[in-house]
Amino acid sequence: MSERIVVDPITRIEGHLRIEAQMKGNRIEQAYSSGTMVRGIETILKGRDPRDAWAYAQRICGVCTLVHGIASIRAVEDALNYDIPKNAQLIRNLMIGAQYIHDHVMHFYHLHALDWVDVVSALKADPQATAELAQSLSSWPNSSPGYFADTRRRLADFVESGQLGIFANGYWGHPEYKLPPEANLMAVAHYLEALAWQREVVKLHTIFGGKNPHPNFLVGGVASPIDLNSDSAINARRLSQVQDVISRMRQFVDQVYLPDTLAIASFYKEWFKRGEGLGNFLCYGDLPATNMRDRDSFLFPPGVILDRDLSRVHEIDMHDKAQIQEYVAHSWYNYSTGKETGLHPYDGETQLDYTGPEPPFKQLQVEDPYSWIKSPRWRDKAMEVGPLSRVLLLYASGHEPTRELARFALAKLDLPIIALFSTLGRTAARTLESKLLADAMQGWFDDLVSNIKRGDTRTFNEALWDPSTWPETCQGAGFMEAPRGALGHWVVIRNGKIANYQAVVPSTWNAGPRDASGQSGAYEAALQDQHTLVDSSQPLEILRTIHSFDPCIACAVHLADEAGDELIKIQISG
Amino acid sequence: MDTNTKTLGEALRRNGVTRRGFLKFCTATASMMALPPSMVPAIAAALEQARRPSVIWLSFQECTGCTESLSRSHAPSLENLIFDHISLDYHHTLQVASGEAAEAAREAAMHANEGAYLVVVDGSIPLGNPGYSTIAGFSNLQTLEETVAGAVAVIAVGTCASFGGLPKAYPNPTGAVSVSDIVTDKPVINVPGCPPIPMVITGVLAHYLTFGTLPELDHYGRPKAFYGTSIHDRCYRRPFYDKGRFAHTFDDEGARKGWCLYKLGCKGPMTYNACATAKWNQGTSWPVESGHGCIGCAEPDFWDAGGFYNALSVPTGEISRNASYAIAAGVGVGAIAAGINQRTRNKAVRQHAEVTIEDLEKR
Amino acid sequence: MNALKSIPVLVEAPATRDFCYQNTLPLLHEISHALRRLQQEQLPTTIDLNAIPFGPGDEQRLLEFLGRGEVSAHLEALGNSSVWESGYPGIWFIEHRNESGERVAFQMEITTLPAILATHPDDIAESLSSLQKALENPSLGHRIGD
Ligand code: SF4
Repeated sequence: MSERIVVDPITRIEGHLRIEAQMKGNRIEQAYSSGTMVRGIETILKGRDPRDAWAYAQRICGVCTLVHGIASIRAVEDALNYDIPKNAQLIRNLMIGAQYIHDHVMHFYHLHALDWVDVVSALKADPQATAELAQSLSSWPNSSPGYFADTRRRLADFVESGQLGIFANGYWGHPEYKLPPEANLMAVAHYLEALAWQREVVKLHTIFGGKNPHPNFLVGGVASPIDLNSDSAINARRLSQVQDVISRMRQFVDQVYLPDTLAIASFYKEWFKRGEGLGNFLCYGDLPATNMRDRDSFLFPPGVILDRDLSRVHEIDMHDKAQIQEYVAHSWYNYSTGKETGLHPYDGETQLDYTGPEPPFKQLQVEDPYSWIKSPRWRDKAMEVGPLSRVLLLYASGHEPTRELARFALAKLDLPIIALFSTLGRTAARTLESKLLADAMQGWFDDLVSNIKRGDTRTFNEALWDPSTWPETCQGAGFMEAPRGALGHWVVIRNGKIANYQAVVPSTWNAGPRDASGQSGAYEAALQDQHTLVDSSQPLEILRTIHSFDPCIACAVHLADEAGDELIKIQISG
Repeated sequence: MDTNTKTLGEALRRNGVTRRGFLKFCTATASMMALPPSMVPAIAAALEQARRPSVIWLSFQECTGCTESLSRSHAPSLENLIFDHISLDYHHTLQVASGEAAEAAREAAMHANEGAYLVVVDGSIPLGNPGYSTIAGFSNLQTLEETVAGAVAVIAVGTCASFGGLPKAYPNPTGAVSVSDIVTDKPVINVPGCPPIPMVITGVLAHYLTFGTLPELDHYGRPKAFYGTSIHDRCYRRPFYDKGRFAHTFDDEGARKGWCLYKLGCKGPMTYNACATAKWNQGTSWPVESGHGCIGCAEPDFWDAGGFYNALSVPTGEISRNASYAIAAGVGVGAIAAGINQRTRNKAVRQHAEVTIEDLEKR
Repeated sequence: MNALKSIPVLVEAPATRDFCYQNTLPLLHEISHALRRLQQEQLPTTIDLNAIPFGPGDEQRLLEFLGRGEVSAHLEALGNSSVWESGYPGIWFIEHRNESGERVAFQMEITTLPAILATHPDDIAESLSSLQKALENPSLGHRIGD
């Protein structure tokens, strides 16, 4: 008996994702991940002013609203050998850190939690017992019986209204929901609190970048000047607002996000045994204490882990054409070198070639191309990128705070380290790195303040702003660790304009389809790892594992090039 | 409409909201809709009778920035919006149900509220090939046409849905078009911005919720209350512009002191939006206040309207002289530049080149 | 925060500093016209301060300039609200916050008493009937220790 289950749209993600699962009985035998939307931003970037590129690239994604902007300005700065002032580096680190924590908390509560939390069951909770539960977990102040009674009443009124809105048709009452009503009620209360919290913490982006989503960036530094004697610049009032945001972030991570993750996970320990998939992890590294050329100063180390072997970290070289290649065997693109070949991003080509079924359709032909996402590979191996990769690399490279944190969390759950290679391991890794980053943010802020105190207020280096100072042709790569994983942008500049632009993004690594040799991508492999469905008409299990990756599909699918473009070879410095 | 649905007045009273609370609520609503405080009694009377309208939110070629922006709204907050103001019956990023269950929710809402639901769209629609963007196996065009058929009106949120936005930027690889290019038999409200200010999104929803009518629109289909004046006209740096005091580079004396960013490419004079008053993220700041010129993100084809760091048309050497002259005549140069750009924006030089006043006058 | 305090310079805008972003001065003129209207024609005026394009620090300078007077009130309905009379009698500020403490409206009323402070006639009617009901209850005497 073989059944094909189709989940489209996958909701509570960024972008358009479709999953098809070929069943064997009630077990997933083969899974197929398909990105179903394309825009072609790289084509649009050609011929533009490289200093403008960040704004276009940033619109690749509005959730991780900062990462493509940063990768883009880094690519241009790398091409021009453009140094930025220390304050600018610190401010960018703070903005990246804020993005991580904001993104991870919103992912946990608003995109992922309802895979584990049954909202309807929360109605049965006893507010008194909920308060006791909350107080036993954390010192977070909103934990009185009255507070939970209010939340329950509000929820009850809402349900009674008959218009369930975004909560309609959830798989409520599914036997895979295992939390007691009190834990459900507490999680619903925190779902709402996190919505209010995130509005506060994005203000860090607004202070330095003028708005959020889509704050402004600047090649050569940051646009917001520092002047303690001006109203219209970063001054003492602004700095104390930033400090306030950092404190709120740390408090919420320590008192709500971390305890909630552990509490919810403790009811779902079997999800620490499935959903691993590839066992290969890749990280470009990021968050320099000094500058982007000084990789030893990175908070997140670069490297590759193969086959779960934490004793060996392989070096990664983004410029080595034998290492990173993209395949399109199962993607709706053509290569001039043939559809079976792989190309390094330097030589990247992308010609749109939709060969899927004519809409409306019921099922994809998975032997043929079936996605707008390509299949990147490292030394021909499929890789997982993201929080789990970073935490494992930190762990493998002996980062003591990470080891301590991992030991603490695993001890609480009474699980071995191997449990991290799983659906919930991925979710837990996201929480753990949020804690590391929240603490690191305080350090960057203190550095910024002491730098200002020393009299250094520079935020922008004008030296190479004017395109007439640029070489006729140059090229560079900007990379970063985005919340969802390793991200790279490559740019070629000729006569002051963009001659070519390429990006390989985290969700391409994770969500990509099979390659020429039939090797599955990370989503697919994870779903093929011991997933049985209790009820195939309510595929909650699929959502849990897919959401554990925090998909960002607009990011993954944005590549498009005009057919027959010249192939440009890029050399990267540093 | 669902018979279960209470009016907003009933719902609030049931939640123990007092008359003072209700008055406060109406005051905040007026402020959010950018209506004068004198409208509060009318709003109170209307809100008393209002019901939560069904809203179906469709996402096409987008980046989810518009939804993220909505989630930053604080008056009302997203949680209040979802619980008290609207019934958000379909929304990819927020809704719990996936796949068939999600599509079933959309169909149920369309059926139950036939002729009365609102459709919100973010993202452009690719016409180049139906396979360029599909949901549940349907092309975006199919989904849009089907969903809009029974709607009372469509709100195009963001510059992509309003005007085509980034996907439509040259050379428009996927043949992207705006909502109003497709929906011609229903009112379409454009709420541009990349992304729009959250208060503007909620303000338009609130207007419909309160009065059951659509707000007054300009020639681009934008609500006048929010898009009626240019950034430049309400910019706090305008006195420096008028005096001819400019930042010449980022981080120079002018930049630090908050002088005008015109020479660094500010597009405030040709951009109609509420950033200078509403500001961003609860009044924290806005692009100009944080030292970067306005990039013009609420205007049609702003992606192709010349580089973000190229100064707009007016010859800069002339500004202070022009300004003093213009002030004497009762008009600011910015207003002149804005007027010119407004008239010829659609034909503005496609990209890369600096747009000069002569270029604009030629057309 | 400690590191912040050690920054030698602290920006304290003096209240009398010129209103450098130009929007505050016209506003003060507007307010004085409103005061005259109130005095001569008993006509109150409400100004939505959210709609004023303040520059950075302008709002604070305005508040400092007008100062605080004798009366202030606190309101708890759908979150907290504060009402206070400025140092110039007849000029009131009303600041509404939501349940999460975020400001949802900020207004200035030029009036004798802001409307939101007065008790609504319907509330008076309800108040009267519930008090009468309480008086009819035989156990009342016992409860108030008579
Ligand atoms: S040009 Fe820009 S910064 Fe200058 S006054 Fe106009 S909107 Fe403000």
